[in-house]
Amino acid sequence: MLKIIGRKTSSNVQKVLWVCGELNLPFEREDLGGPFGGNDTARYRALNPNGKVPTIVDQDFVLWESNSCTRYLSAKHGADTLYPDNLKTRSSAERWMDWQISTVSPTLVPVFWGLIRTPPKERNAEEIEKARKKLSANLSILDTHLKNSKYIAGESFTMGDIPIGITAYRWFNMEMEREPYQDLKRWYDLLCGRPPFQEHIMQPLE
Amino acid sequence: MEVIGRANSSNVQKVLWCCAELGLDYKRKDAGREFGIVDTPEFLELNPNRKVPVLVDGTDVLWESNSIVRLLSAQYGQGSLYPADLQIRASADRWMDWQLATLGPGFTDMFHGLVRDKPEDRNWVKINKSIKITEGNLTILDQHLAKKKFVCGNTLTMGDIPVGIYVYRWYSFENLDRKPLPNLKKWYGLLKERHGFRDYIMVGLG
Repeated sequence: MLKIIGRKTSSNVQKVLWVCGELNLPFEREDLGGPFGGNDTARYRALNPNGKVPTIVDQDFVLWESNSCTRYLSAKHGADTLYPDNLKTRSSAERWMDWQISTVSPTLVPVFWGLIRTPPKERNAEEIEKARKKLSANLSILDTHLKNSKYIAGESFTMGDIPIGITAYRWFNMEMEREPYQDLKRWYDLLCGRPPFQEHIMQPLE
Repeated sequence: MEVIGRANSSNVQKVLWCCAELGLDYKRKDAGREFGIVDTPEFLELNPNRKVPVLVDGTDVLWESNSIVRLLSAQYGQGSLYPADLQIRASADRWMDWQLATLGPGFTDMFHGLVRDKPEDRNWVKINKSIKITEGNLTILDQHLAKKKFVCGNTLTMGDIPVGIYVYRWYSFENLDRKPLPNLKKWYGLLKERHGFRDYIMVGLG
């Protein structure tokens, strides 16, 4: 059975859990990272020298980097559903996955840490607001894209919706000001209708 | 086919090297940094994220450098840059994602500090931290390369491209006290034998 190593509250682990949910793939999960620690043990570093979660173990194949795990499982079990056959559609999905790593995540992290992981008394409101504005500016790009696209890569749900869908959940569920991004909201509501999203992503933020 | 972006951007260089490996013809148009252009309505129409590179192929447009490398590799490099085996491909993807998520962000401060800042403006605390992080990251790659000729085995794949650019940059700094990383150095030697790497990557730091 597929094994997923990583705490279920990690957005990067959640990508893999959501993929498994969409593909009805059975898996076992082991807690690691965050409050569970274990990132620096020799056993874990032998699997993942980068030390972060998630790592997946598919029989004798070990893989880390959450978006790569998402692609791999989608290609293996979700040909032409999560993993578009059409190269142009697939590239578009991949682009928004890369964009989540390269551009959006660095602007989400300071907001998330500020609002979720820092006690109210210790928060730097000015820094958080600065970061929130950058995050919102990025999501405005996505909002515009979604005006002409039902899902991230067209008419159907693909792996491209997954990384940035988790960002969207966080954006809509942190206590803060939000710009009225109508198409982002429409797409987010579609995600909220999916049982694997409800099970793995719509969870308390910590 | 057109590649939009200045030739000394590491992200543009990924695409240029990839095209050279695949023997593709294209035109390149300068944009970004000193060339500006990325804030013009014409550019935003192509890439609302305001970054280079952008690939324009007829009516098809793609941005995010690693996604472009994946697309061109899948289109023109099946079985060479784009491994046919799903697990090998996933491993290539993983090192590409790792560059985006870990190696690239860790390297930014040392690159900006040592290459773009005037000597009197350098923040040595940030620079030294970034050097240490980068050396740690490259140690991970060095250990991976102990058992591999290239990032994913005996031949060059798309997985070598994003990280390969950073290795050129790492070895190009003068007066940097580097810990010996023999496997990394051996692999770097193999990259230097490739004309695409010499023509587009080994062009100085700018």
